[in-house]
Amino acid sequence: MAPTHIRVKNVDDDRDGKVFTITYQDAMQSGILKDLISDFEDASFVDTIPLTGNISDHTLSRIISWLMIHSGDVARATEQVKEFLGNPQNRQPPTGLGMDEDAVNKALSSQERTLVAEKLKTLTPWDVQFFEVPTDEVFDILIAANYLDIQRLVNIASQTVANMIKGKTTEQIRDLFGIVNDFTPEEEDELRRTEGWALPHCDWTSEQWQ
Amino acid sequence: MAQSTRHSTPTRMASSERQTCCWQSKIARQPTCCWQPTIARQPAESSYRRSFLPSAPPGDEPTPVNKSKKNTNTTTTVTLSKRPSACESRRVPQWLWTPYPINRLPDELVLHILHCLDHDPLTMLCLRRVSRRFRRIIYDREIWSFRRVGNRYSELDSSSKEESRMPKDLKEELWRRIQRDGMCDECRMLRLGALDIDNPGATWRRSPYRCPAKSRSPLGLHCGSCISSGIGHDYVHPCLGRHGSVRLCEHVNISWADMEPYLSEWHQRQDPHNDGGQACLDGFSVQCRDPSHDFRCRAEDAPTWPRASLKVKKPIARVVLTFEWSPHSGSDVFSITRERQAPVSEMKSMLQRYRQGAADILFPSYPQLPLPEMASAIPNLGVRVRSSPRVGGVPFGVGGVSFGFGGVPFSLCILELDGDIRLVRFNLLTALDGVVSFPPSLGKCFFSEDVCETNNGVNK
Repeated sequence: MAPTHIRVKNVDDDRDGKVFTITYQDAMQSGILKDLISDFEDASFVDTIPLTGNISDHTLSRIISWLMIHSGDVARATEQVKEFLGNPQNRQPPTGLGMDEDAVNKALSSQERTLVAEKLKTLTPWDVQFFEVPTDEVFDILIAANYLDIQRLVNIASQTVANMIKGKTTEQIRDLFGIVNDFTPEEEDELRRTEGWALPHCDWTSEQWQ
Repeated sequence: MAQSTRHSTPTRMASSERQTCCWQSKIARQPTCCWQPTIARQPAESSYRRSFLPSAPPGDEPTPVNKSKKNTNTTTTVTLSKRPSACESRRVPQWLWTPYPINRLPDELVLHILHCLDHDPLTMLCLRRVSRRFRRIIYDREIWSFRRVGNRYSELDSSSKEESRMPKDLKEELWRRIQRDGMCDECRMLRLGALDIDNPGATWRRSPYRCPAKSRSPLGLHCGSCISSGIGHDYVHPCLGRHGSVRLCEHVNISWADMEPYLSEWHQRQDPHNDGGQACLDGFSVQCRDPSHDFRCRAEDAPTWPRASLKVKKPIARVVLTFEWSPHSGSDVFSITRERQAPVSEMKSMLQRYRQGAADILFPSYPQLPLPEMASAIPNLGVRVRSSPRVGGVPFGVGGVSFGFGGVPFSLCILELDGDIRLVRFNLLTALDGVVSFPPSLGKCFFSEDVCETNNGVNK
């Protein structure tokens, strides 16, 4: 019988982290927790699932709060889509008219899957607020979500980072993430010469092309 | 020892052992750091470093995590440093340690982020200049199993059937920037230049742009790449030979307006039975006489300027825009020793000279040459080799160096002209730092007299 609550803690080479308790449904959203729970299910002596993904306690607590908020999302979205498709006007494949029942059902279920996936991709205001943290922390969450195999959180975090990058120039992106320009001066010159046209403000252009 | 202090009870030990064995399959899920040796270079002080990393200590050992631990059964507060241990783990050597957050992301996650920027080619253009790592990821065709990011150029093409999802202002800005460029992506990849090795001056000739006659397409110049690969390809941005302007060299830009009167006249008057209408195109001739293009080998030689002209191509009646340049007024030679060997370094330095001046624009080097040494080489470059004194006015041997893209990336071809013609190929990959051996069938090798002094560079 599946337990109702799961205890998770960070285990690393030289530290033991805080123990967190999450519900079974919440934990099921993470691919790795799902696997681990099935591995540990029969081992009654294991009371806490250890995680060695180098996740900080703070990040883990943030992720667990995200899981709690989003635990019912898939069911909710499926329900909404089913309700939406319940109206025959919204269905893309025409029902009846030379199609057997199986084909119609198949087409509808595929449409339903697509709509649910689209619904789950959208950033809710809660998510936007969730990621209003320093850049460093966003990366922590992204890496941890990737490790824990929470695909939706990975998508949302990636989208957040992409939104930060969007519309910025090369220099602004470097400043944002603290990236060091590791091109040599010769390579820089080469880049300016061959790809100068792509720069937003390009003296090279005004001198040589106008 | 640390294990036993941490897991003091037998139960704990069992749990720890079990954890080890059933984790074998999951170990691969560890977030990996994609350390680039180039990034490990000590970075300059940046705003990020100042604000987040006041005390990144140098030395062999990374900053240890605070080890104040209590019994694991109780809920403990573990003080962690600002940066989580992914970067500070003892498994990661110090020289690979890098403080910047984006470097902690594995390539797959960076790729994931880039996918979210799919419809923003302007940002992608900026991103590929940010660092080597971004450039590698963006340009790596292997990891782009489907190339979509940053290649939304086709949306700009009015003839493209693809529905544009780019906002209008983004589209206009992208088009404005593309107009500064002279080539489409395919033009950059496929080098259509060829060296005329029969000409002592070794004239480079390249005719990438064509104006088809009486076709359904509107009057314009298409590059060979656009025609062969089709504009509809996602990764081809609209060819500016077709839309706007082409570059002759860093000083001269030939706009469509310069060529249009000649081309439209030819279009109306073309007569396949006569000279194909060449007469109306003769008026178009563009040369750049900037002193930087003067590479003549002797002062008495005529200067060799990069030039562009329009020529009628037969038998298919079409006009080609031809770029020509004779970078050197004489032939180039390299010495062959008595053992019939030529040092590769000498050949490379000779090839280097062909990268000077306008060559880079007219005949750009292949950007993804498999070997760094070959970045200085030009694909399909022919080098004349005079391997014996002239006998009855006929040169004994003519050689050529060609750079192929398939299989053999760098080969030397020797055409022997003493009666029968033979082709000998050398793979310089195996002789990059050594010598190239010439077969005895080539005959005795000498310097020819009527050559320019290649070792002295530019002699004016």
